[in-house]
Amino acid sequence: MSRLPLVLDVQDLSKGFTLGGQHIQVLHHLNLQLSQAESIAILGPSGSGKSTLLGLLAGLESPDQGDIFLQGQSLGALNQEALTRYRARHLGIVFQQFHLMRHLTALENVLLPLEITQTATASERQARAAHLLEQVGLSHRMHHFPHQLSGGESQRVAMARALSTEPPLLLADEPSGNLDVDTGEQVMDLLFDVLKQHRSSLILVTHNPEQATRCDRRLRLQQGQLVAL
Amino acid sequence: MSGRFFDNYFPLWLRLAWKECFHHRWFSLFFALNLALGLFGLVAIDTFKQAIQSDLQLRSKSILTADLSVSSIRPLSDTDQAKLPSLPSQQRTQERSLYSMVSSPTASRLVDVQGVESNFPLYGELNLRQQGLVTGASQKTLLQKPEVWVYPEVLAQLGLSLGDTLRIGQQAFVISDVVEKDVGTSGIGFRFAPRVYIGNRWLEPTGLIQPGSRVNYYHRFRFAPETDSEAVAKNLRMTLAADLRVRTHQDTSQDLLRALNQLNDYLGLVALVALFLASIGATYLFRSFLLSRSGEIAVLLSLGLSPRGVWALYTAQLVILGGLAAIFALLFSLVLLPLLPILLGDFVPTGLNLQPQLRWFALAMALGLGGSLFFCWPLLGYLRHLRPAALFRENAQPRLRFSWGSLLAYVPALALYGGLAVWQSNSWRVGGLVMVAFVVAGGILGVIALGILKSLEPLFKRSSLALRLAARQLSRQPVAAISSFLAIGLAVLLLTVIPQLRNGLLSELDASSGASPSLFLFDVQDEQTEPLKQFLIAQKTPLQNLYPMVRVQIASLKGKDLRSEAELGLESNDREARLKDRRHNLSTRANLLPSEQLWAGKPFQGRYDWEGDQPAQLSLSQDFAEELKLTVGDTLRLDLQGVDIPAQVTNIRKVRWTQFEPNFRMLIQPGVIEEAPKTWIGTVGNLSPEAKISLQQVLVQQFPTVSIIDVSQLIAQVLTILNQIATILQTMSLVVLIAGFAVLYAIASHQAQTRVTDVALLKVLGAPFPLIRQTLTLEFALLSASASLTGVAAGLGTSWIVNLWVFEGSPWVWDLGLPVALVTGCVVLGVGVGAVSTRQALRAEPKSLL
Repeated sequence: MSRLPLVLDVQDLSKGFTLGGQHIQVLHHLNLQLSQAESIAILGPSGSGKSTLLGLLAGLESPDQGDIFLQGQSLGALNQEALTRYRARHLGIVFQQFHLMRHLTALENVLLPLEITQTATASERQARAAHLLEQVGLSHRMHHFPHQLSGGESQRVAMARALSTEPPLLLADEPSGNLDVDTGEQVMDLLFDVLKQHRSSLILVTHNPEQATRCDRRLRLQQGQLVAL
Repeated sequence: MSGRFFDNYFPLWLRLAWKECFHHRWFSLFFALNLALGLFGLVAIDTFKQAIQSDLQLRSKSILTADLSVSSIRPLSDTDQAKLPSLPSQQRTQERSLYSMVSSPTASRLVDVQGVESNFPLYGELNLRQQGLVTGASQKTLLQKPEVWVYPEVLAQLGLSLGDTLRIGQQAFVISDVVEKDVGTSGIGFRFAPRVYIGNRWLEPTGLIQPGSRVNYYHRFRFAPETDSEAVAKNLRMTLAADLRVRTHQDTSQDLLRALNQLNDYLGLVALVALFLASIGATYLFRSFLLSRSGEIAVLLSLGLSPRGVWALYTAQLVILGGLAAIFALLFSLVLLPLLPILLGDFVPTGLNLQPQLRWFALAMALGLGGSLFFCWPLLGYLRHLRPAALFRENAQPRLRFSWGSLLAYVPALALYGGLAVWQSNSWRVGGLVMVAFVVAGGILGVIALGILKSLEPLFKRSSLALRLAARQLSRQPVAAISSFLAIGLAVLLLTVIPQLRNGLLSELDASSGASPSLFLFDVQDEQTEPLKQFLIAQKTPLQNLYPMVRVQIASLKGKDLRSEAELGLESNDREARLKDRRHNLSTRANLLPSEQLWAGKPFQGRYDWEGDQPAQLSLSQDFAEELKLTVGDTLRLDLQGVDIPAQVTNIRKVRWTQFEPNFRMLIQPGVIEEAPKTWIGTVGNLSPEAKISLQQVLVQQFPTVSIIDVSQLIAQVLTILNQIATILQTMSLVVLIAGFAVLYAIASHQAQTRVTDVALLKVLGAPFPLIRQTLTLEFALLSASASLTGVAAGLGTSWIVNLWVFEGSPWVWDLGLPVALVTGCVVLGVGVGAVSTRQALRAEPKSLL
């Protein structure tokens, strides 16, 4: 089988913080490659640097050393404005706490990234957002606000939002972490189904080894580096 | 459909801003209402100012009753007459006016006698009780017969009716009509004396026109509509004699406006304090809102919205909210402005048009947007420190962080207020001083606040748990508390100081009214002084304080010829132009009075030598010297009835005008005016009301040309005006207080958000609900009490200092009732505001901690 093109190439990534006068090295010469439609799970105990890694991959933080190439584009070479634009088009993010905009309906939340990137015409955007909500089984909840949705429904809206711009890479931070077991399972099933359809790559950060097994590769973050399991 | 249209044609940031406003409608409403409260004062005052301006401009011709008037205190010479505009007789008229006593068999009083001709008035109309509307074209029987039209109060005060006889000087007049609505009056301010109209030619038989009499001569003109009155006036000013006064109808309305605008300027400055406090409240509300939105802003950034987009979003929200505030301010103005004439009484012309104008809207919008943007924009600087990566951390939320550097971003806001202060006070100096005083007062109050708040914890360390918790909260989180403290303290300071100053003035007037004379006698002719003295000695009420008086014009000031400035048409300096136009009373005496003291310079030395080369020595009152910007040693030239007198300021006196002793802003050394045609002014000492009335009656019979002013009536008129001004300023200060409590609410609401966890924790620890409620109540009570007490103390202190400076030697009085009422009111309001703003925090569920 021929190897698919690389979506993500993390090279020699290091990141540290100074806390209370003490330097803490969170990531240490970390390397990672991810191909198109490939999924990897990253496991690790609290404080191992998972959140820092996600922040760096999302371009929300800058590394002390090393670089991240997303579809061949060096994130380090982009200024803040360009990085923001790049993130909007090439990354989808699913947060553990959903982080939906409270004053926007489910449909408007999903529309938001499309509007930011000005993808397609207004009517096409509407149609696409509605279709995504339909895909995640929420066509009947389109005009509900986040506080009118359950946790599972909120996370499904967040997934639809993350996929709305058809990003090549999806970052999922404990997507079932705030949900009960059954709902969590349903959400994860949906996530993998949708990903398959969209042929997006996935980096899944999780504490749950069972969910990790559903990914193509499993890695553990320890001592600032990723180790295959 | 409309939603789709909205989505298609408006950028994302604008749509998000609108949704933010709509979704957080309680925040939006409160923000806008809070700001509107501050805007209202300025919008209302400006609207009022504009309404008066338009009213006066509209009526300026009927106020002057002409397009142009030439006035003088002497009959015009043939040469001057020849230079006047040559117009057909129906387009010109002459009048003479003077103050005189009039009497009935039982009473007498001072009136303003107007002698008119057939074309009077050239513009406007009088409304007479019998005859109805009278214009220039109307037939007037008072021109042919000794008849008089009088103001209604003349009838009431003299016990007369229509058809009765009124004696003016030596001539009896039949009262043929009553003036219900006069022409030639602005309707603003109080009248020195009511007016009576007679035919111009009937002034001679009264015998009131004597050498030195204070008679004003008017020549009024009505031009063809296309004539430029200002150009004619300019030409006349260049050609007519220097002592003639040329006024256009525009000049008249400007003069009236100038006086009224001084009150408006001070009102505007008080209103500015309300706007400042409201802006602080708005800043807190927005800060609180922005903090609550940190997480979502981070999400927007993580979704790819650029920081510029976020900035545009919240700027748009501020614009929407500022606009909403402007609309609320306009609504407040619409409802409350009609009440303003009730408060302002005599200061407002009747029938003032207070209908909404486009200017209201523009001003409210400009101030609403300015207040909203300039104060809240710096908060958007917090966005730079937002770290969206915290979204990935389970127990961390992205937070907006304060930095000291962000304080620099408030410089434009301060500049905006500086600009507004200059605009409101119409003076760079006053506006600048207000800003400096405001910043300094704020700084001092801030330091006091910090000291008091920090001392609360040790002060209550042995008190009940609730009081200890409340004191600790205030002592340990003083920054938010200081803002509330300043807002309340500043408002209470204003509310204390204004009635205190009024009380100080009242007590000064009270104290002097006991010692002040009962009657002022003026227009006493040279030859009347001796008979008058003898007559009053015989009445056992000797004449006191008899001083000569002449009227002069200032021809040049510090070598600058005011007349040539006018001739050249360089009247850009308004103050000098006015000085040139004005006639000043000048007297002479060698010694100081008990009610004055030498402030600078030295007393007069010797008599003036007409043959010598030394200028005449001049003494100015301190206020007059400041107005003329003169100091000891400065020179000026006086025009005394055509005689040029060089003079030099020898001394400056500090005069206590409230003593109601006859005094003059300008005194000249003995030997200058003694030979000039002049009149005398004197007083008659402390009389009982009955004795005063009977003396006035006999004086009018014996000396019909002498004018008399009842001092107690004058004091009563001054007090009425004083009370009106104090009431207006107090009302504006109340707006400031409401704005102050809105700030407290804004800050308390913000604080309440951070207190939810504390309250939940207290509940988990088993603290009973009443204890928690008591703690919060005590916290607000302590804050309001300490702030209002400080405000009261600062207000009393300020009034004490003003008393010391302005009313030297007068005892400083204070009324315990007002401070007690203010502090009690503030504590009750503070606790109420606290209860409302923290109700949500009090409902915090303990399980939220789990």
